[in-house]
Amino acid sequence: MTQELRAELVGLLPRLRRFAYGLTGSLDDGDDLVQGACERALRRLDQFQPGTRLDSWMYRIVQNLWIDQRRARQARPEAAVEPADLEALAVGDAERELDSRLALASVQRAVASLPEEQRAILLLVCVEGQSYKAAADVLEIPLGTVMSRLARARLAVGRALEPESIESPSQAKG
Amino acid sequence: MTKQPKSWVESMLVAYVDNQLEPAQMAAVEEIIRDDPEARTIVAVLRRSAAAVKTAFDQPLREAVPARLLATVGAGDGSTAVGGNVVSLVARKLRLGRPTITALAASLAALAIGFGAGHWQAAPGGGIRVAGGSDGAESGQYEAALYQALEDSNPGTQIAYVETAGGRHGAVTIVGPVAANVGGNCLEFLREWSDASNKVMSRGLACRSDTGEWSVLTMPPKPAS
Repeated sequence: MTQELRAELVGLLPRLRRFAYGLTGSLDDGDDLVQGACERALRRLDQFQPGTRLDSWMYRIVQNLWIDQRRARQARPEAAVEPADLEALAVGDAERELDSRLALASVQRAVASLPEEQRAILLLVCVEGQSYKAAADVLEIPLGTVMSRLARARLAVGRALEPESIESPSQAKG
Repeated sequence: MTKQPKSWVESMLVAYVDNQLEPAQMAAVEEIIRDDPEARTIVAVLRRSAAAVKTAFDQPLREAVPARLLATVGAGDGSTAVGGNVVSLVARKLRLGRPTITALAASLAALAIGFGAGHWQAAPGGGIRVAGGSDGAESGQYEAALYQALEDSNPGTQIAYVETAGGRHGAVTIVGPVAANVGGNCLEFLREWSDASNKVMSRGLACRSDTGEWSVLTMPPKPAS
């Protein structure tokens, strides 16, 4: 069983790296986070309950470790887009390339500026494709909280990307 | 400015957009957004923001998993993580263009896994072997053959070698790429060698970094069948 879990964990690494990249805003910091989470998971492998989802368990460990690190550092993630992100874009002419880079940078900045609890929900549901129920299990919060935080996160990102299309929270409050 | 009380909340609209409501609830929200322009606007923004975020962090999916993460999963804390099923590993690093392997300081434990493919076998027993292991088989000839085989990279490629000291004959054979979800730059290989009294085989995994270095994990040798 342990061998199967380890094999499954290796298969999860790309997704865990993506999740951690979204949380930290940095590929290197994300990989450090995944590495720390894997070490923590391997130390606690006996706590994993057979029959439950390993990906949910790992997302939770990554998220909890990130929160621990954030509390220790008391710092927000860098919102800036790393140069490596920009190089990886498949683009055509120079103008389109610039547009794509700016658009990606805008989205990443918008996500980075979210409160921690909203960012985690947004990444789990919209990037990792987790159901509301799975996201609620990962973050150990009620389903209704998932929905309200997710809505706030999506509207905040929407406001950041297209401010003319939606009222600010104070205006929209009704 | 006064407004009509809303008959909806954003959390209900986001659940509608994500198709997470019961059919009756979906129908109710559809009726609301048909009649309420503000609700329609919110729904559109919720859709667009989700689409914008969906692939914004995909860069890790387009690149190989760093060898250090693979090593972490393979190594971990063998004493607690895998109980009595510890498998020794030797971690080594090859530099591009240099057929000499530089031993890493660390030894790795417990890669008793399939790397998604299920073809790694746990060796009985356990313990830790440090780089340049006790069987003394990490010769320059073997390292050169391994490097040459990895550079060729085609499954079935076999590079034979003879060690000038010790009289061992051996070969490195490329088995093939490991499962794609591990990353595109990892190869499994088989190493066999024999001398007058022993015939030994071991398996290994080599992952190439973006900078061209090969990180090599070698399972402990066992008698060849």
